[in-house]
Amino acid sequence: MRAARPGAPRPIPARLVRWLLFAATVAVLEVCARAGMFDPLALPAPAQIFSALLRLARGEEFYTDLNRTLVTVVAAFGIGVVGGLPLGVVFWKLPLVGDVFEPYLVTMYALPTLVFYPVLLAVMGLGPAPIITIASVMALIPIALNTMVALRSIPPMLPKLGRSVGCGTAQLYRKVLLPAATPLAVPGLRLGFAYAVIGTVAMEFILAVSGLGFRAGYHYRFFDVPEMYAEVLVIGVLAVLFNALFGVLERRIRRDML
Amino acid sequence: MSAAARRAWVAAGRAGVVVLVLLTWAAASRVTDLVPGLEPTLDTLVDGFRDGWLRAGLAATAQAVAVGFGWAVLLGFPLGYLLGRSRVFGELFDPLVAGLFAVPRIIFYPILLSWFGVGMVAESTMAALSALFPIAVMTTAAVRDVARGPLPKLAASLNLSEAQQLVKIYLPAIASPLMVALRIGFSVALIAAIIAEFFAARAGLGLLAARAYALLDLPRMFAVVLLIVTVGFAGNLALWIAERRLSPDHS
Repeated sequence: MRAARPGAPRPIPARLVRWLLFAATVAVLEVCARAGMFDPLALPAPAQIFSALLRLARGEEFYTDLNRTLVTVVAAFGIGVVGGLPLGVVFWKLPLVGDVFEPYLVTMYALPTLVFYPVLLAVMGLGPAPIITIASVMALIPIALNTMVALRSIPPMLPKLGRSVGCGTAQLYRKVLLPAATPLAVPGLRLGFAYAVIGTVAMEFILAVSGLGFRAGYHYRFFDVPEMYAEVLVIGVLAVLFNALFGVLERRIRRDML
Repeated sequence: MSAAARRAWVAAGRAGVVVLVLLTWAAASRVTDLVPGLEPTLDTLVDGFRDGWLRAGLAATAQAVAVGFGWAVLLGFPLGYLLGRSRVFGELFDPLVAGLFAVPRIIFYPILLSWFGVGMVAESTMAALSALFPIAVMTTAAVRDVARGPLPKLAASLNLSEAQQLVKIYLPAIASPLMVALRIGFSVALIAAIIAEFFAARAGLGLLAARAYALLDLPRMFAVVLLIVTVGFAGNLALWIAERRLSPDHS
């Protein structure tokens, strides 16, 4: 906490300044758009985008897309967690295996997974299956890597202490290793979720039959520019919201550990 | 196990992974018609380079990635540095940058298309926009890490100017995380350019892959995908090795 000097003006909270900046930007865009400074096909007025958002919210299609995207993301993230955590444990238990796979995982991390989408499309057909497959691999990698790093960074004293007080293997994992690894493993989960979202939206955007990412591209192709901005806005707000949720979780867990 | 024997095992294991992937591919091509064999794929790859269509696509993608990555570094590093050094900027814009970091940036591509039209400008802007945030966020984190340590006190006691602090204190101290940021930035720029080309472009590897998929010309599609994977893998590996050399605990 910053202690205000007596007599000095109270510092303006950053949150307030942020919202003011945001409101000012929207206002400037609105005025400029109304004055005809932008091509309406490139940048419609914020009010138009907002009314497009309301139009979308009244239709059914929007909820189908939203549902499809959320289900895909959650499925991909779920598979990523179920596969990634045990994989991280294996890489830590068998350091040789971990060292063999590390460069591949590190490079696959950001890289070529998405370009296999057309390959899987050809093999599995157009539907959620190829998207879930690739997005879950994208989510799995950071989860496995972070779990491995988290377990490797546990001081060897802790499991020794656990053994010396008579922990069984199950107890050792649950009571010693799990809490000790959590602070470093949770950022991996957060990253895995972000990758699941990015992968899902990107693949829907490339080629799909429904989903928020698909719909944004669809509106572009039909020149529904305000609707396109509205879909982009929805995806952005959802991503920020989920990220904030993980941030809260992360802080809470860290506080519990300390 | 001695250190040398262990290294040999790891190297053998790493080579084994590549062999295993190739064997799986060969096996899959026997089982299903949807996976072309190794040989026709490699033939198409060689033909593509001889006839020039693959070379042209590679050049277009490389240009989009290089221009985009360049801009992302030029803008992302100063932005991240400023956010890390200045408390006012940090408090104001941290949530914005962190929020945009979480948003799948590819979704802005239709907006860029309606601004710039289909072509190289929209693609390289897409690549720049995608790579900018990871670079900025990681730079900020690295700078803050240094600022918490003893080095700023040293800088203050030596009366270093802002420019001297950047060059003599911060750049060397954050060199290793900065390399990580650049590697991830490169990967992200490449992915963004490819996805953008998948959606709408005049040239590039992504466009070639999308066309081959539309025609179900599988050897051609696999050849393009193989080339993209190889380029990305090689670039990433080179940056990863550089990163390991720079890291402080590397003996």
